[in-house]
Formats: sequence, C-alpha cells, structure tokens
Amino acid sequence: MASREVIQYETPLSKAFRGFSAIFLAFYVVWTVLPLFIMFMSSFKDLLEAFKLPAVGDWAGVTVFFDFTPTTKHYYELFANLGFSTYLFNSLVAAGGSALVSVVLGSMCAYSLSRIDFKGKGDLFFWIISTRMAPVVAVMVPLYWIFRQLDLVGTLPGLILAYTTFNLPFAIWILKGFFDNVPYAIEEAQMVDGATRIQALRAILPLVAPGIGAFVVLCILFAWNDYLFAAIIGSGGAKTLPAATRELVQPQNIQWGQIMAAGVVTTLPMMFLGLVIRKYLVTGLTMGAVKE
Amino acid sequence: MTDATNPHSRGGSGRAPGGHRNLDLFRVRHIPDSVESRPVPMAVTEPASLNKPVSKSFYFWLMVPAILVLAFISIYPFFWMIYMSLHDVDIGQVEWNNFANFIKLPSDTRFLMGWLLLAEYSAMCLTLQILIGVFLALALNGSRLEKVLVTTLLMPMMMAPLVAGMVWYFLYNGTFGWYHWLLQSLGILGPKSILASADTAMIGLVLVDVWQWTPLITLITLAGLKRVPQDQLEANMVDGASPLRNFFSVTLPNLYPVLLIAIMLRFMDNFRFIDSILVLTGGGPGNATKILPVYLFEVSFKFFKLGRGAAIALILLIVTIILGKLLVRVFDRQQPSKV
Amino acid sequence: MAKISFRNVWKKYGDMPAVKDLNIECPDGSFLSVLGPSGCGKSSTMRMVAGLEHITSGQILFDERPINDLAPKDRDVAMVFENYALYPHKSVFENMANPLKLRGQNASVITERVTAAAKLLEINHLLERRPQELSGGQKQRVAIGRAIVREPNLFLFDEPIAHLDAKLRAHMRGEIKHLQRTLGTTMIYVTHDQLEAMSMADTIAVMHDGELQQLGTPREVYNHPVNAWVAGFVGEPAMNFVDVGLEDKGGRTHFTHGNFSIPVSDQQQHRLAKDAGEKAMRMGVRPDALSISMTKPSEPCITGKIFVTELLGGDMIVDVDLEDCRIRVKTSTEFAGEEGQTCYMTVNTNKWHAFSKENGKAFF
Repeated sequence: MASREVIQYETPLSKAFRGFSAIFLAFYVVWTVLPLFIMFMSSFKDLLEAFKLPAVGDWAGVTVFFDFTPTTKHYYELFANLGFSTYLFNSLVAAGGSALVSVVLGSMCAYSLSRIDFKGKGDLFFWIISTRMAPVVAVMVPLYWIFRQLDLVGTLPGLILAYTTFNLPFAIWILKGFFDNVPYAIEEAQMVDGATRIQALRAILPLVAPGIGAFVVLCILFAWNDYLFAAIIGSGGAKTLPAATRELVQPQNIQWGQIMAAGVVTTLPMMFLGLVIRKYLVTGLTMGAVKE
Repeated sequence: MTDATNPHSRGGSGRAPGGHRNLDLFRVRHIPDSVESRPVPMAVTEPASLNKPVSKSFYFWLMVPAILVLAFISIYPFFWMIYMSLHDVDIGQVEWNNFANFIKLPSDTRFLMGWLLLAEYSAMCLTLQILIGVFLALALNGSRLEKVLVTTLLMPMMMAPLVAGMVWYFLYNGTFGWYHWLLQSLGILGPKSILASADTAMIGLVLVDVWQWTPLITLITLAGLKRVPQDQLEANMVDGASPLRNFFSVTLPNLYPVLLIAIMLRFMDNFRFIDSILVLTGGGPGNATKILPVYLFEVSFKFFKLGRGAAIALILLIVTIILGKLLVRVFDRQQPSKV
Repeated sequence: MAKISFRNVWKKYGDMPAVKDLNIECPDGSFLSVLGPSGCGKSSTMRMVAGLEHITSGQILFDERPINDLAPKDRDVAMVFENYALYPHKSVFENMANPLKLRGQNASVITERVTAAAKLLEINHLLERRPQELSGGQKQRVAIGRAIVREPNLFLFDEPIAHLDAKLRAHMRGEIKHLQRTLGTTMIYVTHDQLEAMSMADTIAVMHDGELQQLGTPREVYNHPVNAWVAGFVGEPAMNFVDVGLEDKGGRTHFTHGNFSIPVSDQQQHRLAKDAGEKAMRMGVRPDALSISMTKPSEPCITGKIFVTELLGGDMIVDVDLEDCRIRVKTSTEFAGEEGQTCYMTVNTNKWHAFSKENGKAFF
C-alpha cells in the first residue's frame, strides 16, 4: 500500500491483503487472457469443433476445448477469397498515412506552440484538444456529408483525412510536451554557434525522436483499430480490417472461424506494437496528463 | 539556570548584572539588512524611443499547415452540422425545416432514454473499473511479477473495440459461448444469453468495457502510486501510522488527481466508443442498450435522417465540450507549468 | 576582438523593465564583469549582446557598429551558458566542433582547433564521451572549449561556474582569468558572486533592479562604493552598517551612536559640510577596518558584548552586540575574547563610509 521503496512492516491486515490480492490477481489475469486465447485457438478450429461445449456444470469437460484438429483454412479463405489482403493493405495505408501527415504537420505546430507565447494561445490549445475529444459519431455526421460532396467517400485519402481528425490534435498536444522538455538553451547555443533558426530546429529533432517515434505508433494504433470512420467514410473502396471483420457477420450463416481469424489478423500486429511502445503507453492514452 | 557571572554562560549576553533584561529564546534580534539600503535613484523614467519589435513570423508559418487542416476538419464541419440540423437532409434533397429537428427531441423517448442509458452505462463501467483497477494496481505495485503481469494486462487495450465486441459476442452466445457456459455453470444465468434479455444486456456490455479498459486504470494508478512522495509516507510512519493508515491518509489523497484524470478520460471514452455495442446488441434487445451515441448512429446512418442526426450530434458535442473544459482544468491542476 | 558599447540600452518584458538605460563602454581585450543579485538584469543584458533577446530601446555596438539587427550567427560571439547547453546526442568532440562546422570549416582545421582547445582545457581524454557521462566540471570545460575553438569578437560567460563545488570554483576562477589574458579576447562575464567579479575582472559593472550602480575597477568598487547598496553587496564578510547621529563637538563632526562618539577626518568633514542639514547618517565600515581588543583603548572606541566568535582558519570573525544591532569584526586568530564579554573596537577612519539615510548615496 505504500510506494515501492518505503520499507514495509507486516501487520495481520497487510498479510491478509497480500493473500487475497494474489488470488484475485491470478483469477483476473486468467479472465483477461481467456478471450484472447479462445479467439486465437478458435481461429484454427473447424466450425463445428469450435462450437463444442461441455454440458452445463461439467467442469471437468473443459478439456473439450483442446480437442480439435488445427486447420489454417480460415486464414486461407480470408486472404484468397475474401480479399483480406486488400483490407490489410488499406488498414496499413490509412493508419500509416494518417500517422505520417499528423506527425509532420503536428510537430511543426507543436514546436511553435512550445516556443512562443501569444494572446489566445490557451484558447487555441483548448480548441485543438477538443477536436480530439469530440465523439466520432457526432463528428461523422457533417463530415460524411462534406466528403460525399467532395467525392471522398470510399477513398483512402478521404479516410486518411478523416483519421487526422483525431490524430493531428493528438500529435500537437503530445509533441508539444516533448518539445517543452528540450531546453531552449540548446537551440540558443546553436544559434550563437552560427545556425539559423531552421538549422537549430533540425539540430534538436534527434532529441525528440524517441517521443515522435512512440507517438507515430500510437497514431497507427488508433487509426488501425477504428471502426466507425472506416465503416461510414471508408465504405466501398477503402475498407479496413475492422470494417471488413464486421461484414463477415452475415445474418444467415455467421462464419465464426473466419471472424476469429480476422480478429487475430487485426489484433496481433497491434499487440506487438503495444509492447514496443510500452513506455509511452500511459502518456499516450491519457493524452499526456499522466507521465510514467 | 545560567550563572550571569560565569564566563562560559551562553545566551546570557542580554543579562545585565541587574538581571532585568530577559532574553526570550525565540525572540528574533533585529539585525540591519545592509543590502536593502536604497541605491541612488537615477533620473530615468522611460526610454526615449523603441526599437522595432522582433518578428515571430517564422513560428507562425510553421503552425499554419496544421491549423488549416484542423480548421477544415473541425470548424468547417461544425458549421455544416449547424446547417444540417436546421434542415431535413436526405440523399438528394436538403429542405429547411426550421428547428423541427430540435423541437421533436424532448418528445422523442429514445433520445431521452439514450441519455439515461448512457449515464447508467458510464456509471456502472466507471465504478467497476475504478474499484478493480485501483485494487489491481495496489496488488501489483512493487511485486516481482509487476512488469510481466502489467504487459499481459495491456493486451485487451490493444484490441480494436470492434474485434473485442466480436469475440465477446462469440463468448456470450447462448449455444456455443464459453462465457455463457461459465455463467450458466455458476448458476448465475439461465439458458438465455446475457445479451438476449433486456435486464441483463446492459450488464453484458459493461463487462466487455470493463474487460477491455480496466488495465488502463491500473496503469494510470500504478504511475500515480510511484509518484506518491516517499518522504510523506515515511514521515507518517515515524509519526505512528500503520500501513492501512498510510494508505488512507497519504497514498489516496495523492492519487486523487491522477484518478480524476482517469475517470474523466474513461467517461469521455464511453461517449466515443460504440463499436463493440454495435456488434453485441446493436442497441437492443428492443432499445434496452441504446445509449445516446448508438441512437445517434442509428438515426444518421441506418435511417439516414442526417438532419435529425446533426441536431442530436450538436447537442452531444456541446455536452462533450463542457466536459472537455472540466477535463482541461483538471489537467492544468495536475501540471504546475502553464500551457 | 572588439570594443563593446552599450548606449542607452533598455530591456522591457511587456511593461516590466528589466534593464534601464544602460551605458557602458568596454574596451577591446578587457574583462568586464556584470555583477548583481538575481533579477538585476545582468542575464538580460548578456542575452541582448548575444542576440537572444530583442533590444527594446537603445543600441549595442561592436567597434562602433550597431549590431541590433544582426542575428546571433552574424554577431560572431561565443557564449558559455549557465547550464552549459551541451548537445546531449553529440560527443564532446562534436559539441566543440559544432561552431566550426556551422561556419563551413574543413575537417582538418576542425580537428586541429578542437584538439588544441581540448589540450588547453585538459579534456582531450574525453573527446569521445557524451555529455551525460561527464561531471559538472568537465561539462563546464567542454562548454568553454566550444567557445574558444573559434576567434570570436567577444566571449560571453553566463555564470559558468555557479554549479560547481567551492573548491572547483576557486580553481576555475584562476583558469578563466588566465585563459582570457592568453587569448586576449574581450570578455563579458555575468555573475552574482562578488568574489568571482573581484578576482577576475578588469572592470566591474554592478547592477541592481536593472540599473547600473557603479562601473569601476575592483579596487574602486571595493574601496569607494558609490552607494550603500554597492557597499553592502561587494565584499565578504559584508560591510557593517550602523545608524549614527551627527554631533558637532568643538568644530569637529562626530558620529555618535549609543555608547560611542568618533570624530571624522578633515577630508570627510569637508565632504559632509557640502550637504549640511543631515542630522543622521548610515555609517559603513568593513570588518577588516575595525580592530578589537579586550582592554579599553585611549582613543574613542565602540563598546560592545561579544555574541559569537567564528574561527576561519587564518582569520577570526567576531560578532559583537551593540544594544540595537550587531557588527562583525575581522581579527587575528589570537584573539582571546569569549562570548558574553565586553570588548572594545577602534575604527580606521580612513576606511569608513557615510551614506545618506534617504537615498544611500555615499559621502565618503
């Protein structure tokens, strides 16, 4: 109950807490991992085998979960016949593209906001982050209408633009924090040494590079996992993985095997990315409010 | 106590032989502060003339592209939203309808229920997430397995909410769902899936949100725990506090700001993430889980009443902005440095 | 090398003046120290010379050329920042080579000059390290090295040794002064530590609240402070101030206070007469201008009770209580007085000062 470094003295209460929390933790971890595990395993199961359940109350019968012959036919179906390689490509391009645009424009803007003061800076800042907090559902209504008129619906550039709705303000907000951490004195030293303002800015970029890298990954994460924009604005020509996964749910015959496989394809890369930027995850997900 | 005639006496310098000067231990002696003496004032008031001010145009130009894009993405649609909310918008025609969209809202039960359900949903999610999340953080803090377990618990957050919804749809299924089987075997549920009946569907949704996002609360709390000032805890212990006391009087108060941020963020996320709800219940059964954003989605993109949708979206947006202002104020209190 | 001139220089942040009407002429090759407490405007002054702050009004000139509108890179000054401002992602060699690289020097010239500078500062064994791996003293020398690799018009040192421990500071004072003499480049050195200014500078500019208080050599500033503030700021241990009344005894003005009444010298009498009408003054006398003894001397003296004695190795400081204030006397280590005892102090009246009570101006 205390900060890690402070010496702990055991009382009966703290011992009980420790015991209870260990048990709870164990159960919770299992509960957390189980759906992922089931999704993964089921993607390799033939449809009928996936539906195998023990009888109600038959706890020993749980082993029936493991009783199957693994098959990769669902994955094959996805990529060979259902066009998932296109959807994967779309996801990559949309996520990557929006991350790129957001980083470039966002870092320039964040740098300026970090270095100068002007009247109304606070208001500008609030406007920037409010665009990040606006519910996608609400924003999408007019955005859809505008995009229709500009013929952007169903196009990848349109989707990339839509994703900048939340990625760009996020970029500005987070990157400003990173620039704030680089003392202006270093740029001043560069200028006294003989650099122009732009050269000085270029010189400090290596110092914010890890932050920028982490943020790019987070941008990709948010865009990749999005469903709403992809379904409405990307529908047709720019379907991404989540939208395509949803469409696998046909009312007549739900192809669970394929759905699980699609889920794995959508989730696995993001889990990997999550591990890569573990350090910046809290900062990124709380929009910089909590620094770890 | 002190002998005035003793050459080694200390603090007796104020004692004249008569003993009538009484030196109080804590009285501060007046010692003139030599550096405060006022210097000679120069006869200067204001500069004769001012030089040309420095131009900040370099920085402004850097900001322009981003601001332009943002304006196109947020301000322009905002005006469109207002415009659309005042019209009957359909594919092909746009017709002025003079606030009818707004007027109909107070009598629209699904609109009103949408807010109620949203509040109910948020309340349930938040309560569970905070209780479980903070408890987990306390359990994990300082344990040897902390890093490994936290990484494991991260995984649900990395999932697309839609995919999470799909997986749980599978798990909740009354025929072949493993979690349904679990709940049935524990005697909690009958044969009907949790999502199939109006009273339990909301709980089903809440469980999914809790599953996916509790780790965020845990992560945030862990970060906050590590920032509890160690010296405060130690001082309290020396003063005589037990670990439980320490938790309530030092740790918890220091956690409040961080927890507040977590709560506000998750609360706003409840407004934004409807992906899993669309998959799991679509708002049903009936309208039992049609929280407001889901209703908005239905009106705008299922029934294609975009004008009506715009009106609802506008209201939702206003509420979000008010909440956002609160959030920013909480942010600012957390960080001492200004924007 | 350049002569630096400040002509009616002002710096205002919004409506707040940080530097007011500064006028200084700094000859080519000299060592000027800008001395003052925090907030006195010395850093703003330096940054205006470097081009990092806009000059609100007035001009700064290098060799009679106004440089107001020149960017830092065109002013050809070298600056050592208080927190060193080293580039964390570059090695020591690259840090020191940076100014040369930016000016397009070729690699062989760069290597030659960097190694020469490193040798001079005794850091040539650190050339491949990163700043994070260095101690404070080493970082500071890298910062100085970055400044000396080229031959600029001017050196600007902004409290460079403030963050070093006392011993290292004492060592670096000598090193920096020697460096400046060797290289012959004009130097403006900003500090709040009067000991640094006194020991290193040719000229000191003492500033307070944005205004220049006194411009003079260390000796002038120490022995002839122009007002009470400068007198109290310069010199360690600080000058003693006692409020005295003026009494005319037989044609000779005496300073009187509590139990003492000491006559002024002829010259001083003359100066006081010019501003007749003051009946009370602040007398300032440095601890080393007082002598203390346990036996009452024949001349007029000050009587007090010993409050505490501090042995400083080669000297002893005695704090003496007068009824309403306390003064400090520097004396030899043989002094045998103890706390609580009565003692007697005589003043070297050639070395005492009188300051106006209302504006602190020095009469002598």
